[in-house]
Amino acid sequence: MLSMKRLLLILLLLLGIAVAVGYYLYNKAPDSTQLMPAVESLRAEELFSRYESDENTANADFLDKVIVVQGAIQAVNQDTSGISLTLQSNSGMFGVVCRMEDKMADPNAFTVHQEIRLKGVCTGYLMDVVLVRCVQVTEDND
Amino acid sequence: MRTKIIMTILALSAFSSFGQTRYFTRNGKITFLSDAPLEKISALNSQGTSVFDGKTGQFEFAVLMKAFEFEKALMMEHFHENYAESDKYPKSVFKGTITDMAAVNLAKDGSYPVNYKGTLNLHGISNEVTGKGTLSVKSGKVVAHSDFVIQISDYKIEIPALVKDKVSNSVKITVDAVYDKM
Repeated sequence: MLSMKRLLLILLLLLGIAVAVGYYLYNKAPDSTQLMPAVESLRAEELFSRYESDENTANADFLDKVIVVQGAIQAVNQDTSGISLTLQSNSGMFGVVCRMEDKMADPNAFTVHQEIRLKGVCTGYLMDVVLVRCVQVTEDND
Repeated sequence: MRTKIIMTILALSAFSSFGQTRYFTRNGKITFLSDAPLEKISALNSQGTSVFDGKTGQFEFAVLMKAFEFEKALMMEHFHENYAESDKYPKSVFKGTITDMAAVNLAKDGSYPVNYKGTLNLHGISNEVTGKGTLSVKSGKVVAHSDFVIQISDYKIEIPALVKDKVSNSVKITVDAVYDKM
């Protein structure tokens, strides 16, 4: 039979583990998109077109989901909080804006007209379709 | 929403003389800060879309709620599911006017204090907002900055009694936008 002292020690240990797990879960950063599987892969032109033609249906398909989008870079924007890439659509001025997850990413690694594949979380549609927490998809990490 | 924003651009174009005073950004920043006794909660949205007419002072700023990024996954989940209800109300829009635009010379570099008023639609509720900000002009770009405080109860966002020490009813919204000429 366990002595009272040993039982208290076990309870304290379990309590400590519960507190540590709770603290970890409470402070846990969002998972990297790199580790999350994509539900669909499509070209930027198609993604934009599906939102442009029926936003509600496109939201049902893509909102808050991880998708891979491929397209040509139309613009690279760098500011104090990170980098976003705009991929071309068929609309001319508007496209698919992808906010990069790596806030320290080198903007010189991206050039206008470069073909690129990005994985990110779709957040919906204003004048552009917007993806956040994007990572570049290459053959190595696909 | 897209149609409304495009209509706004067209309307602003009509108000402007040959479109010479329209400005646009798709990288506007909105941060919010809830500073409660037990916890600070902040989030950043770097993909706000805004159009601004430099002649009339009319502007519109729209953000996708799901584009707010948090440091903690749990905060993000609670924000979207319990407070903003982002699936039900995916966008927030602020339409307003700079009331003293006549004092701003967008052709001359400088920093201009301004006042504005408008309507903020959040969580499906619209309320009037007035505030102060600055417009800075440098090399053809217009940089806008402002912050204001809202009471989230005004937008029918309820804070459960259990977390009232962790989520403040007063939320500070900060706006930073670098506009390019259209």
